[in-house]
Amino acid sequence: MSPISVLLVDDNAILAESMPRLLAKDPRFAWVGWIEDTTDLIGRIKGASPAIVLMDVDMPGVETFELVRDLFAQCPQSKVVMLSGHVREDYAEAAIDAGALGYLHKDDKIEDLLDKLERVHKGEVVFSPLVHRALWRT
Amino acid sequence: MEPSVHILLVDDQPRNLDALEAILESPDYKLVRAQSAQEALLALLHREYAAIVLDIKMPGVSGLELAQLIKGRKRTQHVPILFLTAHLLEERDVLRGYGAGAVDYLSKPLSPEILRSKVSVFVDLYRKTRALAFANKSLVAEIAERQRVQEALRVANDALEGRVRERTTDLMLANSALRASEQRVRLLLEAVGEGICGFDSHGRATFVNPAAASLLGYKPSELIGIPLEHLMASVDEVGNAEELVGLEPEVAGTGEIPVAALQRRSLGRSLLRRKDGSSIPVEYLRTPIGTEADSFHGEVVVFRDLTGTLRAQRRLAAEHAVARILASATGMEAAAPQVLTRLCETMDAPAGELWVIDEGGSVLRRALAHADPILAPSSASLDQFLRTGDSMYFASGAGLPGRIWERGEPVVVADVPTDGNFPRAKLAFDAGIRGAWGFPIVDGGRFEGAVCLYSREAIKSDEMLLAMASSIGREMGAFVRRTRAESELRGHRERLEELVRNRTRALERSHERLRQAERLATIGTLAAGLGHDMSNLLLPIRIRLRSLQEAKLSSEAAGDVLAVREAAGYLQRLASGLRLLAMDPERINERTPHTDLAAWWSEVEGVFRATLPRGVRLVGGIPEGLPPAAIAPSRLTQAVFNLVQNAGEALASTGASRQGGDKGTIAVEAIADEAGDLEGAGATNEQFIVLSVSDDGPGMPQEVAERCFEPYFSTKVRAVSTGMGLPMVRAWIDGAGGRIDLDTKLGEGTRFVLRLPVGATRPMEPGEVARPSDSLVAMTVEDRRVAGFVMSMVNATNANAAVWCGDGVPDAKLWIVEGAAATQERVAAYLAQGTAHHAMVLADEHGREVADAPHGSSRTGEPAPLRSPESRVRFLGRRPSTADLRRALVQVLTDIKGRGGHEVDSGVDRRVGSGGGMSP
Repeated sequence: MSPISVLLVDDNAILAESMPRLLAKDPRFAWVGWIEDTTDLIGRIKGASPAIVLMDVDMPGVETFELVRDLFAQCPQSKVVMLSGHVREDYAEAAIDAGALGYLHKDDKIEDLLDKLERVHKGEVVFSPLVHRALWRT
Repeated sequence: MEPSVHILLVDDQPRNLDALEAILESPDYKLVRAQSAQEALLALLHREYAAIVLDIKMPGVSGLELAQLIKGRKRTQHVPILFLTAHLLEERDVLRGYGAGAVDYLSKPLSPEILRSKVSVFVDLYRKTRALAFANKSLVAEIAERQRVQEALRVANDALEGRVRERTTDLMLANSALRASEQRVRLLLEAVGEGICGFDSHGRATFVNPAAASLLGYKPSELIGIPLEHLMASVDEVGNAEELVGLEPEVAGTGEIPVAALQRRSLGRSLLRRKDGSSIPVEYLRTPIGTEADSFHGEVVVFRDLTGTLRAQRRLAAEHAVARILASATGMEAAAPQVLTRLCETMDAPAGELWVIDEGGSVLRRALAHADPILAPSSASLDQFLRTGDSMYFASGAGLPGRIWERGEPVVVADVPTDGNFPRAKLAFDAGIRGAWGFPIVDGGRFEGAVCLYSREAIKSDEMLLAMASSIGREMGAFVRRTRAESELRGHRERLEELVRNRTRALERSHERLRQAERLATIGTLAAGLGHDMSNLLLPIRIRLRSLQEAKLSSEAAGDVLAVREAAGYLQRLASGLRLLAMDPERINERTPHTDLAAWWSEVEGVFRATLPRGVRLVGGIPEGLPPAAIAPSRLTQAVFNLVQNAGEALASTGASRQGGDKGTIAVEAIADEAGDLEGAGATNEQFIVLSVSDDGPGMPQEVAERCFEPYFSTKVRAVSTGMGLPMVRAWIDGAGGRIDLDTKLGEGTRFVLRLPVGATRPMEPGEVARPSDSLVAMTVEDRRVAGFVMSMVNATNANAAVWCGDGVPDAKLWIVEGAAATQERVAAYLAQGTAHHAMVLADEHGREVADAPHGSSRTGEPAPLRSPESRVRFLGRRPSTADLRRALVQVLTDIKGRGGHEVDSGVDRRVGSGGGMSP
């Protein structure tokens, strides 16, 4: 089974530069790269054609969920998973409505994150436990 | 000489005319020839003719025709015509028709004699007629002259008669005027109000008018002969009219009046002696009667009674005085004594009283009595009269005050002893009081009280007195109203100021609360941002640490990595705590909030500790395994954060007394309390979580402890306070169905105890599905998003969800069915299954048909539409939003859980009674 290619869209360079350490070493994954600014995001993702796009929720000046909607429509081969610092069930719902298959939190355990990425690749919808709690309770 | 006579000869033959002229040639005639009718008529226009000789036979207009024309004209109709004919008999007959005298005729050949004779007759007749006419004309003129003279005579006569009549009328008018004048003078003397007396040169009265007699109390006849000086009682003053310059003041009783003085008119005031010995004040004018400077025949004295004027002056002075007093007074109580004093003085009243309406409004009571010290030298009887009034009450209509009240206008009691409605009549009489009067104090129509004045004499009511009394009464009433209004205004102002003060305080409190809420929001925003940023950095740190861990490291480096991991772990907990603190209170809307205290504490402890002042220790004592508390974690975080903050401040403020920088300890502890005794909580064996926040600080004074939960109460200088306020904490805990209590002792510390109800367990807990082989949820949906989301939600509870594509009915507690699979029969068949609980239909128009179709699965046997209150079917539409789907899912699964896991539920009643929120 070929490794799952992952691309990160985030303006946080420290995180972005750390991600290859996580994904490049793991045989289950392949690190495609990092997109810092969202200029021609669709075109660039189409070109890279990752299996999974990990996307930050709040990047400056970007309507993230609109972007997810476009991605879902134009790059059906790439599955979008949000990677957020916010625990908000309304963000999670908006993400799913836009076509994302998951909403993970940056506080999530690393093993859990990797496991969820695998499951998304299989076609499941995944959430951070923190977000799940919010989804169940409110 | 007679005027010449003209004769007209008419013939077309000049020869004949010549013949006629020859025959008639005479110095007496003037002959005029005409050869045609036209010439003849022309000639007749120019002058008068005595006769016309006319030839009948003429060409053109014949003689006869001409004659007819001549006779037809008024001017010429009487001129005689002599026709000349030629023997024609018929012509003669015609001519006769003209009548004798008018015409004549002669047959040709002409006899000159006859012609001359006939013409002569005509001329003679003409002449005589002319003479007669002249004579007649003279006679007419004479008659006219006579008539003219007669008319002139008549006119002259008429004029004379008119003058005689005028003279007579004038005379009569003069007579009448004289009589009228005499009458007027007489009437004037009788009618004037002034007294008028004439005195002779000896100063004895020679005539008096009725007014003079009346004013002096005599009959007119009695006064005749009385000396002037006998009447003069005294002279008050001498007027300063210019006639009086140089006049010596007269002195009563000096008898002789200096002639020089009497030769001038004099004006003055005096007292005149009346017949009965009394005197009246008068103003007089003395006018001497004399022709020369040194002749004195007597004098006329005119005098006017000044009694009314003087009285009016005094009344005016009284009004003025009252007005002045009221203008400067602050209230009726202060003004009343002065008013009464001045009224007594100016009205010659020895005593006066003020009566006001009693508090009850039904009687008048006396508010004030005044006895004038000059007019009423202290007398036991007057004292007795006034003292008695002190304990008297008058109803409307009773006594003088009551009568004033009843009528609302001034009342005069002319003679007190004879008045039937004067309770103190006997006392008044003993005190020498004869008259009494009073007036109401009224403001508009409102009666406020009455002023009563007493006099030593009987009182005659007069309009002026009543008007004055009314005026003073109104003025006093207006004053009462004014002072009352001022007082009310003062009251209003004070109330307003109080209101403003209260509002200001409320505003300050509200502002303070707002400030606290803002602080909460600010801290929340700050914490959220901080937590977010920390998470953003902690993930790469954790990734790097994980990477390092896998590398081969020296033991020293491995130790370093471990230390960094611990630090990162701490930071991770701090970030979680910050997130809990940051949770926007508006978004705290958990349906079944609960907090696992041990887990919660591990998350918030770091944040709590980090925000405490240096030297304050925080210790936790929260065991694992406690049941969850029924409060949202973020609410609990905020509440406890407040308590910890307050404790921290209390400790920091007194920490100097301890050793080595130790400022004290805050402990957060929790236990489960089986013996909950919350008021109104129902069963006493209900379980509670008791969470306490205690410190070993200075404690609170009693009064602070009692009030610290009151809104807006604060012991702190506000700028220093960092707590959100205990009232908010109490509100949050109350809102969660719990309570908060305080236990504090000065010098020992403070302990807040939060008693929280135990929360409902989670809708799904790991391993709750009794038979893992069964699916909790079965789906027949193609929408990947819906399927994935449902799977994820169900999986989170460790239960199973499955996408099911079979034909029959799935074996699950919830069946989510989409599109064509959602037939009414299949849904009904599914619901008829013993283990099934709910169906969720995702369909549009088609779903509506399914929803409205009746199904016979109900245990009651009655077919009912799927979309009914007792139906377990939910319709969400073809592509529900994730939010709608989630809400429905959570509600249904919670309901299923509430029924007791996998227990077979087959009863409709139980379903309804379970309270699951079913909505179409």
